[in-house]
Amino acid sequence: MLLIKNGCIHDGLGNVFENTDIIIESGIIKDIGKSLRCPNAIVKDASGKDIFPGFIDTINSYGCVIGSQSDCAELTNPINPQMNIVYAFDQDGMNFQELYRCGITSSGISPLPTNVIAGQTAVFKTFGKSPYKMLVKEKAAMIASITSDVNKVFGVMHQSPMTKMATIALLIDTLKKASTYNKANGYDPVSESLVPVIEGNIPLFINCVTKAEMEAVLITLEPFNNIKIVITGAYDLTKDDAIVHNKNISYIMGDLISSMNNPSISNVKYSDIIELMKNGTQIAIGSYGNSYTSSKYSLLWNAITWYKNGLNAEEVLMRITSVPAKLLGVNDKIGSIEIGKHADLSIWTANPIKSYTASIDAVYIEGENMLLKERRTSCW
Amino acid sequence: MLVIKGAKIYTSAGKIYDKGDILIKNGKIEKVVGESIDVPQDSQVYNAEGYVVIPGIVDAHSHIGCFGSTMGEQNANELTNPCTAQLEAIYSIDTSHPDFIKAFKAGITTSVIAPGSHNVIGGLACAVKSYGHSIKDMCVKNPVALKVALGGSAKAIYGARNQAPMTRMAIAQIIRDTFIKAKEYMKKKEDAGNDTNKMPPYDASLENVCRVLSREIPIKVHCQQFDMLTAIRISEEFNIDFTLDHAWGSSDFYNEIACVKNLKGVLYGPINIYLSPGESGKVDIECLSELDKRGVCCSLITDSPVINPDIILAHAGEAVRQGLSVEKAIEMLTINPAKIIGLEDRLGSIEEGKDADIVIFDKTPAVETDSNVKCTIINGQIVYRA
Repeated sequence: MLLIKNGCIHDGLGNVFENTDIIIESGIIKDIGKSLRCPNAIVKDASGKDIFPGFIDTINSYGCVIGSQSDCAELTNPINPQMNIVYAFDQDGMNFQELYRCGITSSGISPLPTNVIAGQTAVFKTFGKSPYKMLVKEKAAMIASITSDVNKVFGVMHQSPMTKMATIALLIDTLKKASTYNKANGYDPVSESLVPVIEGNIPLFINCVTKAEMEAVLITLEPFNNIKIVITGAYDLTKDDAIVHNKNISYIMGDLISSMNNPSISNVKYSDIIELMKNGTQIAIGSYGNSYTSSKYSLLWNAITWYKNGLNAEEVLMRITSVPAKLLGVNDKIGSIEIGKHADLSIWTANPIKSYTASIDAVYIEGENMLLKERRTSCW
Repeated sequence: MLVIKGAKIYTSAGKIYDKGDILIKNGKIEKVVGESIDVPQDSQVYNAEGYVVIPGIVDAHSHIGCFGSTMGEQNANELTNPCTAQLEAIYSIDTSHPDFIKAFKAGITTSVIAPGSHNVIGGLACAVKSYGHSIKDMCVKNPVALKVALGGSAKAIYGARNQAPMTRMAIAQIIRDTFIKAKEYMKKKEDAGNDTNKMPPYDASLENVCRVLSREIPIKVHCQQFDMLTAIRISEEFNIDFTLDHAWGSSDFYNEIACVKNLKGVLYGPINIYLSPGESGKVDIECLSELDKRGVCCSLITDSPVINPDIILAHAGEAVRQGLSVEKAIEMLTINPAKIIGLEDRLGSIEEGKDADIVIFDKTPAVETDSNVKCTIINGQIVYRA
C-alpha cells in the first residue's frame, strides 16, 4: 500500500484538489481524499507538488520502429485492416524511449498512416517486461489515411491508389463489402476485421491534413452512420469547416514540433480549434503527424504549444489524459485520477505544462515508481 | 534611434537589470542601463514594461533556406563525392524561404547555415541574419567553419553505392587524407613563395582545408557518442580548432571534452530524437550543466528544418528542468554560440557597440512555457512585432 500525501491533484477531468491524499493498493487507486489514514502504507510526501494522471500519447509507433527496422508499415497492400500491431511491439523498443521520464505512462501504438487502411491500434503502458503485461487494450482503433502520403507510397510503385479519387474509391468499396459480409459465404480477413468498425465498436482513426480531405471523409462515410470517426492530424481544421457540424466526429491534433514532414504546421488555427474544444468537440492533443517523429519530449512540448496559444492548462491536461483515454476506449482503466483507475500518475515540483522549472519527482505505472525501479537494460 | 524602455534585461554580459532601458542608434546598441534614460529627440520608443529582453538568439547549427517545402527538395547535400570542401552553403540559401520568418518570429536573429551531414567533408558554413534584402546583406561572416560529418549519414549514402565510406574507418581516413594533402599543398605554396612556376595547381577543396589548418576557421563536426573521440583525435593530430555538433552522449566523455585544447564549444541538440540502438541511442541534455561547470562553452541548436525554430526555447527550458540556471540557459542561446562562431565582438550580448539584435518576450523564456516573442529587432530595426 502506498499513501501519497498532501499533493495538489489535477484529476485530468478539469478538477484540481489541493492538499489531497491518494491511497494506492495493488496498482489501483483505492481512495482519494483529505487527511486519509492508512497505518500500514508507505508514505510519499507530495506537499507543494502537483500530481497528474499519466499522460497518454494517443497514437505513436514506439516499440515498432527500432533503428532502420520498421514493423509498422505493411505496404504490400493499401488495404490492411487485419494487421494487428501487437505482433510488432517490442517492449525493449518502448522501454528504451524512457517516455515515463516525461510523465507518459500509456500510448496507442499504431501502424503508420501510409495505407488507406493500415491496421489496428493497441494501447500499451510505456514500461514493462512483456508486451502482453503492458497491454491495456488491443483493437482500440483502426488506422486509416487519405492523405497524399498514401499516394506517394503506392503511386511510386505504379499501383493504385495513385490519386485521391482512387484512395476514396478503394475506401468506399472496402467498407461496402464489409457491411454486407457474411462469414458463411467464406472467410474474408479484411471484411471480418472491419465489421466492428462499421458497427461502431472500434473507432476509425482517419488521417487528414487538408480541409478537402476532411470534407472527403464527411461525404465518404455518410452512408456508414455507425462508424465512430476520429480525424487525426487535422492541421487545417477551422471552425467554419463543414465537418465540425457533425458533433460525433472527434479529433487528435497532429505534431506541431517537427516541421520535417508537416509543412501544414504553420496553418494551424489555434483560436478556432480552442473554440471547438470549448463547444464540446472531443479533441485530443497528439504528437504524431504523418509519421512518427517523436521523442519523450514531444507530447509535453505539443501540450505546451497549445497552452502557449491560449488553451487553459487544465484543458490542455485533459487532452493528453482523459480525452485520449476516451477516444481509445480505455477510460474505464486509465486517463484520470479517480478511485478504481490504474495508479498511473506523475508527481512534479510544479506544473510542467506551465513552467520549465517543474521537474519530475516520481512517476508511477500501476503504483510502481519508475524513477526508483531498477530498470533492466537490454544489449542496446 | 530606438529606445526600449522599462524591461527586465538579461544582457548575457554578466548583468541582469530588473528594469532598464536600451538605446539603439545606427543599428548598434548605444547604451544599456538599469535605470530610465531620457528619450532623445526623434526616437521611436518601445514600451517594454513588464517584458523580458534578451540578446538575439544565435542558432549555431541550421540548414534553413537550403531545403524546399519538403526535405526531398534539397540543396544541402552534394551527394556526388564524400569530400566537397570546395562548396559553400551560402550559394544554396534561399533567403525568401519562409523558415527565415519562422526564425525571427522565434527570436533567432542569426543562424549558422551549414551543408548537411551526408558528406564527410560537406563544405563551408556561414553566419546569416534572419532578416535582410539579400544574402549579401544578411551574411555576417562567410565562412565561419568547414562542415565535417562523422557517423552513419555518409555511410548510408556511399556504402549503399558500394563506395567509400562504408565504415567509420573510411570516414576517419577520408578526413585524415584530405588534411595531410592540404598540409602538403600549403607547404608547396609556402615554398613557392612568389615563384609561380613552383606553385602547386590550384585546388579549391584544399584551399578551404588550408583555412582550417591555418586556424582561420574551425571544423564543425557532426558527431555523437564515441564518434566525438574521433573528432578530438583528429583535432589533436592536425592542431586545428573544432566544434562538437549535436554531441548526444557527451555525458560519457566529460573529461575528454573538458580537457581537449582546441575545442571551441559544444553545439548541443536537437533533443527530440526518436531513440534507436547505435548512434541515436543517447540523448542527455543534462550534460550541459556538467560541461558548463567544467568550463566548456555550450550552446543549443535547432538543426532547422529538422525541428521548428521556436523549439529552441523548449530546449533551453528542458535544460532548465535539468537544473541549469535561467541565466546560463539564455547564455547558451546567445553569447555562447556567438563566441563559438567567433562573432562575439558583434553578436550575442546586449552591450554598447554590439549589433542591435534584440528579442522582447512577454514572460521569461526557458522558464514560463507560455513566454511569447513580442518583438524581434535585427540591426536596430523592428522586423517582427506580435
